[in-house]
Amino acid sequence: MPTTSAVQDFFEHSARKATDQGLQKKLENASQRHLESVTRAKAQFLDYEDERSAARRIKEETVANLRSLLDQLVERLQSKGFKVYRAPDAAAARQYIMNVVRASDARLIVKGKSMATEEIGLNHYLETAGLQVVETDLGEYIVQLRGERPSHIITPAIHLSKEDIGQSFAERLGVPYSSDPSELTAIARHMLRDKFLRADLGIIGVNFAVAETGTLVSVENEGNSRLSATLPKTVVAVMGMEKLVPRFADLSHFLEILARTATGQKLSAYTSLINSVTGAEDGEGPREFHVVILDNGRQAMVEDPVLREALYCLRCGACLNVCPIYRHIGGHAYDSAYPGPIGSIVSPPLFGFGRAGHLAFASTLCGACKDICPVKIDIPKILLHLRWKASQPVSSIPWPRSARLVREGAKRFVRLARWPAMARMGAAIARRVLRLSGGKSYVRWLPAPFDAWTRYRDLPVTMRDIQATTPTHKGPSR
Amino acid sequence: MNETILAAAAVSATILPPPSESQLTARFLAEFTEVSGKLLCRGSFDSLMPTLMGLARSASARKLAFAAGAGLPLSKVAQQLAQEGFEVSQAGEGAEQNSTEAMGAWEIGVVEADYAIAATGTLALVASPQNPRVLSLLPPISVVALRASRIVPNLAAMFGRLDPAVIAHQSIVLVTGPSRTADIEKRLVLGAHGPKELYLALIEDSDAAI
Repeated sequence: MPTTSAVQDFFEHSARKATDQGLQKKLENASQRHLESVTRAKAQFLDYEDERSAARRIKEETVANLRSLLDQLVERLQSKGFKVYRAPDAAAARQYIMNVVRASDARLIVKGKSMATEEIGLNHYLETAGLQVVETDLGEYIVQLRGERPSHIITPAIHLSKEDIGQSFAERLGVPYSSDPSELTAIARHMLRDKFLRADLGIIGVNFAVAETGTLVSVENEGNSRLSATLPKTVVAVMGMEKLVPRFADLSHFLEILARTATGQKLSAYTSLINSVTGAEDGEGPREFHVVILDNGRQAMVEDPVLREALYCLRCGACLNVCPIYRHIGGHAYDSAYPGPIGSIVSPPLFGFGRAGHLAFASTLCGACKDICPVKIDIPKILLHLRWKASQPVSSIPWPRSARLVREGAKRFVRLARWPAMARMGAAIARRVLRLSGGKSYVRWLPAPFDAWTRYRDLPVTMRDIQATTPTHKGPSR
Repeated sequence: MNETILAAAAVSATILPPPSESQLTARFLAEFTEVSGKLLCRGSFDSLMPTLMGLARSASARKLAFAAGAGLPLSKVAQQLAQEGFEVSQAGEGAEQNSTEAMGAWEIGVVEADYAIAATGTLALVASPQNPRVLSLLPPISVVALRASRIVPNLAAMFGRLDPAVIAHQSIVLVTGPSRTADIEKRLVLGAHGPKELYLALIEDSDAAI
């Protein structure tokens, strides 16, 4: 059950975000560009429906056979010299990685982008132990400098303007201020190049792992994952256990669909198919390559017939791009490693209903996410399922007062409105009140506590709408 | 009917006859340019050395690193450039392991692609001691030599061509254009951490294959 404080925090947080004019402008700009890439993505498929169905079938097969495919993957990886650890939960994963760090005497750690490491809070854990962990994906680097969480799965710093970023670079890196994206990128490249060359240990994420061949696949545009996995002497790859595909041939399908729905590209700039650790074959690369396969609540999702399709997710971020809630409150209001629609369905099972159950309610169920998802996850259905799971008497959830009043008032009105005279009277009162807000325009004012709505926006209803649809003493007007 | 349209149809449909090398080349070049790849030279292998030298001079680059080359004699070009006064490192047979400091100083990395994918403008590089991954990753300018006969229609076709032994033991990088990011306000910037510029030397004569 969502805790009172989690829900209240969410309401406060999202209200702040929704009314932050500066943030709204940035989210609007970001949303524009995200939607453009979604349109581009769909246009590149001969038949998006067919592609989605095919991708989904492979993922269905994966999750249905997860246990045996994982066994196959582990066996393959170990036969190639990878060291594999199957972590039951976040704490175990963190501990294992810490042991690897200690054993390799690493001080400087570079990180490629990994949502799984955000999920287990790895950075904070390592930094508390006195280690230097440097995020190398540009967006992650920026939010790390600012001490913030990423706000989007693909573009972590999308809630920031170039001026914000320039400001942070000037303050934290001691460089002259610039808000030009090319210059800022060049600064980051220069700063991080030094880290890459000196790093003792690299941590990367995994987009797909092929069970048949023991291949780890890393998809990126910047090159930082390649650098993190090639230069340091020790490398740790962290993956959710559902990030599998059965066969090597399945990859071609997923690589194309992921690039297109994530950023509207035909293929990302770099797709690394990691088939060996190092040494005899390559002559370069790490001496030790560890793979941490994370459960952390995923097995329970496999066993839940409704939740299991949430494990098909490719982490493309397209659902965030189309979600009207995300568009208005941004990623931080979700207060989870995974924001947006996908975040709303995986956060409760992964982080607990107490902390994240309220996210199942943070949706209008418009279905835009379901329409765009490359593996056809029925997010609205899962949200309803989670709402049921989190359900308890409505009165114990601390809804804002206005919402409670509307609900109570509506209950009473419904009972009384059985009598036509009462209905007409109720409508007449409503019209009187609303007339105070102006006739032809949208309703601009409502009395407290309903002004929680009209303080920041109009009620998109005009007097004419109300007159047309409510009964008067002359009888129904239509 | 337009060459490009035929090539496009050929790469996506299974009922048409397989595309010709020239169709694949045309489609590949179009896609490669689309992702900001640049054509360094095209034609015979002999055109590589002068154009590469021209590129190095215009970029004021003195330090070049070469892969050994799978089918193309890249080491020949490396030796010729060394004679012209450039600082040249060669990977593979007999080359000592470079320190990270030395690698960080490379200005141009020259490798040979094993395959190229027409539908996406992608270059496929199979890693080996003769073809280390860092050569296409660290230097700010990346030059990739490609035999036109190695262009395949799409990703699935390339996977089909790969030797299972390669897949079992050798890492592969699929390179589609230079390094890039859109993390700042979704504005595209080239050259995030990997190469800022990607050049293609397209070798179209079969004599060069050894």
